[in-house]
Amino acid sequence: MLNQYFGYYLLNKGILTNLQLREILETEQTVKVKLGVIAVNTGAMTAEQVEEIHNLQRTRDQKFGALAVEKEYLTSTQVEQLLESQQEGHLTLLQVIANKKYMTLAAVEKALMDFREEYETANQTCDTDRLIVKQMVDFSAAGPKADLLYKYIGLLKRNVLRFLNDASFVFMQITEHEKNVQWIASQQIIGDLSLSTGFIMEESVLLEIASRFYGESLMKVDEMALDTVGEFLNVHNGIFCSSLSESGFITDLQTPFVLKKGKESFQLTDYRVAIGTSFGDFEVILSM
Amino acid sequence: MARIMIVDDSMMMRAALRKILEKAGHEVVSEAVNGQQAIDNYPKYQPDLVTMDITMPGLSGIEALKCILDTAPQANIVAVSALGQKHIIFDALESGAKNYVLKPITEDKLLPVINLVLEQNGFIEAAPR
Repeated sequence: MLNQYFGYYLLNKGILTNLQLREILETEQTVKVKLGVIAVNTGAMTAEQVEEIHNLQRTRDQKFGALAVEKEYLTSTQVEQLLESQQEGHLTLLQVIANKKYMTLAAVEKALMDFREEYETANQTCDTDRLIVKQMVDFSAAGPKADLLYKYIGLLKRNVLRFLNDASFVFMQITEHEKNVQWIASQQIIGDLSLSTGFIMEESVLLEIASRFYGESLMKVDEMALDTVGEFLNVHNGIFCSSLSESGFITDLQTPFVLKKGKESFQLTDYRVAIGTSFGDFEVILSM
Repeated sequence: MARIMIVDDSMMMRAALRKILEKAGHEVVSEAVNGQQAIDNYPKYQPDLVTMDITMPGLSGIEALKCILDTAPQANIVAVSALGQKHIIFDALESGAKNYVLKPITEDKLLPVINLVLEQNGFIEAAPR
């Protein structure tokens, strides 16, 4: 989450200009991250301590880690851990900012704290949700991509809470191959991961999802209601795709659509999961 | 305050953006439902700022953004997307977007960005710091 969102956060706060952010995104792939930046990122050292070590390095020909241990700012174990995380891509953005002197380390430290407060609370329950989903659903047939599907459903539970203000629960995996459906909202994720996503729901549930997401009561299934459900799916998939990018997947979204349907035959490659809410149940279809 | 054009294929998004912008005192001078309409409407309405959805059927928001900037290089365009991925943000900025807002759109996400772009381009005075 840190890399793309932190850069975007700095742009939105007016701390970086769009030209600066573009330069950073262009050059970060070639940059090696220094231990001082990693230490500030992890909170192992303060910016002031890092600057002190950098100043010492100018007069003494010693590595950062060795000096930090000598000053008792870090232990040897911490230095090893920092060296291991030097390869993590999300830190290169911070290193480029430091190299180009767009911000001081102290300013980066402050911005990181503010950013984490604003953005990262939502991720804390991610693993818990995934464990809960795994108890109810079996995506093992998806092989190495099973974890992505668990992530999708876990994220959906959190987004139902966040955007529809309802604590949903996963209650079963469905294996029937034919079903009468009223409405299908569908969107295709393309790119490094090809995934068809969809919600199947009755009219009353569609209207409730639309009303809750829009923030106003929608009483009939018209263009606004259909569009709003499509937008909820779009936003959820957008958040999912953004989280995928941390694992190196580059994806895009096609335009969602919402249609009234009759009898549908589902492919054996589809995974269908029933989600329960206080306003009714709907099914999630995932197909690779 | 500012004259703004909204570009988004989603009726819901256009309604939501209009509500936030008008509540803040801005005037929504035009709504475009696709990239081509945005290109056609820009010279007609000459808005102070454009909010441009990136993912639209037909001509994408990025392509529409480039076309508008070809003939109106001073245009202030804020990209809007559901995708917060680095390559999307980079493409939008490289194409000339002045800033970027991620969906879901809320008042406290949208208005600071709108005000920042307007301030940076001389449409409103900077607030005392």
